Amino acid sequence: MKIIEPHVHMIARTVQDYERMARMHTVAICEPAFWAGYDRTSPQAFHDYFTHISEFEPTRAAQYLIDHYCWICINPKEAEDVGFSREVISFMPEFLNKPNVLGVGEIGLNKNTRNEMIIFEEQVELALQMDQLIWIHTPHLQDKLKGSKMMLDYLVGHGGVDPARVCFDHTEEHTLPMLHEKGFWCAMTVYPVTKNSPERVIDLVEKFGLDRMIVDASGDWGPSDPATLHDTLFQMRLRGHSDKSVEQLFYNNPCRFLGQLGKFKPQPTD
Amino acid sequence: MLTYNVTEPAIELFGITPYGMTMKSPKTAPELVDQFYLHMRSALIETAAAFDRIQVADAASEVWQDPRLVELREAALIIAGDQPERARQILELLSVKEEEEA
Repeated sequence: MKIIEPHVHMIARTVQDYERMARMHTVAICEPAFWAGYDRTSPQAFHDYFTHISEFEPTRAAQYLIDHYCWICINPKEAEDVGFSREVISFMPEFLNKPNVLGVGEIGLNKNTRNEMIIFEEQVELALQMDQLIWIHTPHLQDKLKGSKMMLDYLVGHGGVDPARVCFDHTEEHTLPMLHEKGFWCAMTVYPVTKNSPERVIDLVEKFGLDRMIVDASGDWGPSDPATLHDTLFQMRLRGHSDKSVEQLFYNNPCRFLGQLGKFKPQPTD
Repeated sequence: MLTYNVTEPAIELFGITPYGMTMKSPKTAPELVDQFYLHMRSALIETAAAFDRIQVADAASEVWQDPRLVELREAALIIAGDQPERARQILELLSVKEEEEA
C-alpha cells in the first residue's frame, strides 16, 4: 500500500528520514513553509528558504523515489511584524506559480494576536486571487481552541472561501468537530507528546468517518518522527479496519485534497 | 454545539451519528479493554508518580496551586466521571478561555 505524508519539514530532517519513509512505502510528501526555530533577519532569507524547499528538497526526495511538493507562506510565528510580512508576501506569487508548489501554507495563528490575524487574512486573499489551496496551522496547546475559532469565524464569514479547498492541520478532539462540520478538511498530527497519539487519531476517525480526514506526522526540528504516520496506519489495522479504509485515509484522501489543482501527481486508487 | 437528531436504531444499523457516517470500531468493548488496559494503567501511574515527585521536592508548596497542576487534578475528575468525550472535555479545560488574552 502506498502512503502520502501530507506534512513534513524535510529541511529539518536528515537523509535517513527520506530512506525510512521510502522503505515504509511513502511515495509523496508535502513541505509547508514554517518557522525554522529562529526568526529570519530579512525578507530575502524567506526567498532563500522558499527556493530551498521548492528546488533543492525535491532533488533529495527524488533519490528515494519520493515526489516532493511544498507550500509557500509567511508562517504565523514570524507574522507579528506586518511590514516585514508584507514584503515576504510580495514575492510569494513567483513561487506559487511553480509546478510543485501546492498553495499557501502553513498560514494560521500562533499566539492569536491582531497582527497575526491581519497577515493570515491577507494571505487568504492572495490564495483566493491566485486560485490556490490553503493549508492552515492551528496554534499549539492552550491556544489551539481560541485560535481555531478565530480562523473558522473569519473563513465562514468571508463568503468567498470554498471549505473543500482548505485544510486545517493539527486538529484534535476539541477543534475537529466544529471545523469538519463546516466542510473543511481536517488533518490530525501525530506527535510523541504534544499533539495526537495514533490511538486518538483512530478514535476520531471512528467517530467522524473518513470523509475529509487526513493524517500527518509533521516531522520538524523538535520531538517528532515521520514514522508516527505509519504507527497510526498500523493502529488502524490493529483496531480491525479494512485495508480499503486504511488506503482511503492514508493515500486516497490526501490525493483528493492535494490533487485539486492538478499539480499533485499521485492519483486515487478508487 | 452539534445537535443529536438521529435515532438509536439508525446508529445501530448504519453507523449514522450526529457527525455523519462513522467508522464504528470493529472491536467489542471487552476486546478494546484487553488491547488498551496496560496502556491506560501506565499513563495513569506515570501521572501519579509525577505528582509524587513534585510533592516531595524542595519548594513543593510553591507550585501545589500552580494553575497547570490544578487543571490536571480537575482533569482526573473528568476521567473518573461517567460522561463521554473525556478527551475533548480535558482539552477544553486546558485551553485559553475566550475572554482570556493568549
